[in-house]
Amino acid sequence: MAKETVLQRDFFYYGAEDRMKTEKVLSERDIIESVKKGNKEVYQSIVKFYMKRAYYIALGFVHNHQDALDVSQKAFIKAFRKIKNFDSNKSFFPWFYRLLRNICIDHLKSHRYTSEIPLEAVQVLERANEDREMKEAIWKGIEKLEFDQREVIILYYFQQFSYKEIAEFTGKPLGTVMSCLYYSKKKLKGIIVKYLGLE
Amino acid sequence: MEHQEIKKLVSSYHDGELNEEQKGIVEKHLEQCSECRKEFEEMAKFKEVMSKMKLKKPNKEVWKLYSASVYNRLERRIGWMLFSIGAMILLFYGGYKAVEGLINDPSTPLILKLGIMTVLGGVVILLVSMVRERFFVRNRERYKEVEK
Repeated sequence: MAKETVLQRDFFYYGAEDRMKTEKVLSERDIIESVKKGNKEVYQSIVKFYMKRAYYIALGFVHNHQDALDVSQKAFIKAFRKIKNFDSNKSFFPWFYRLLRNICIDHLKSHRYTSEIPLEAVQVLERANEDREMKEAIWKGIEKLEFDQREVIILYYFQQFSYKEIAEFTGKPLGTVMSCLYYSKKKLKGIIVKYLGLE
Repeated sequence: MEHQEIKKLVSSYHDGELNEEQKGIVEKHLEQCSECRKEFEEMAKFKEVMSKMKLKKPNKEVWKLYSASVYNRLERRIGWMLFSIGAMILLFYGGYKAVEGLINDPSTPLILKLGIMTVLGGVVILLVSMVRERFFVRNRERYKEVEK
């Protein structure tokens, strides 16, 4: 079954918590245009709409709650600073994703040699105590993947984006995304096969 | 189509991302290839297991504070920049006054004067940077939101 696109979001309520008070509805494009003029308050709408998605993507990369909060917030700050270079006729999220991704890469590089221990699966997954050992092994397996392979696994399995959307976000051809997913699935599948005794 | 390419299609079959032509290729191939049939079953299991790997949701308080935190960081950025520049100027001036005698002494070699000023500048920048970092680190409690 084809995945529905999750990218299309045309309207925001300006001041979401004041939805009952305000009748003003702005398109993402209008919001971006307002943000380009330095309007931080309106930018909150963008932050509130994308914050969970940004956080969970960052968590998949950095495997640490506090760092995921930090890097995702940094991405929003960087996006605000660079918004003047953004073409408001395009969708915000693919552009934002690339900023977030680069910040995560920088974070992983700068923390490679620190003693910070990434969180275990039981601390980041729901119902982690069900099939705990296998989930732990998969989580660790994801951590050991090359960045590009981890990226497609996170975007596909944890964020439910389609292959096409992943290709758009990462700027890679669809065939490359499929190949990347194939090789990452192959590595992780080995873990699952072992635990389920399918060998 | 090469077998390796078909294996990639087999791997993607359960993801619902193949077009009708690709699905047909896979289904026809599975009738003949036991290796790929095994792969097909394993990928079905893989998808089932991965569907159970869901990230835990942080408590609601985190989201309430999140956008406010972004806003505050945007607002404070200019403040911190001015603070840093001002602190550097003041510290550098204070340090300069401490070594003024040596700097203004004509008998002091130029290279020594340059060395002193460079060290002074470096110490000032490092000091301000460390104080800022300490302030941020002290305010962030690691794993505060993690539920055990």
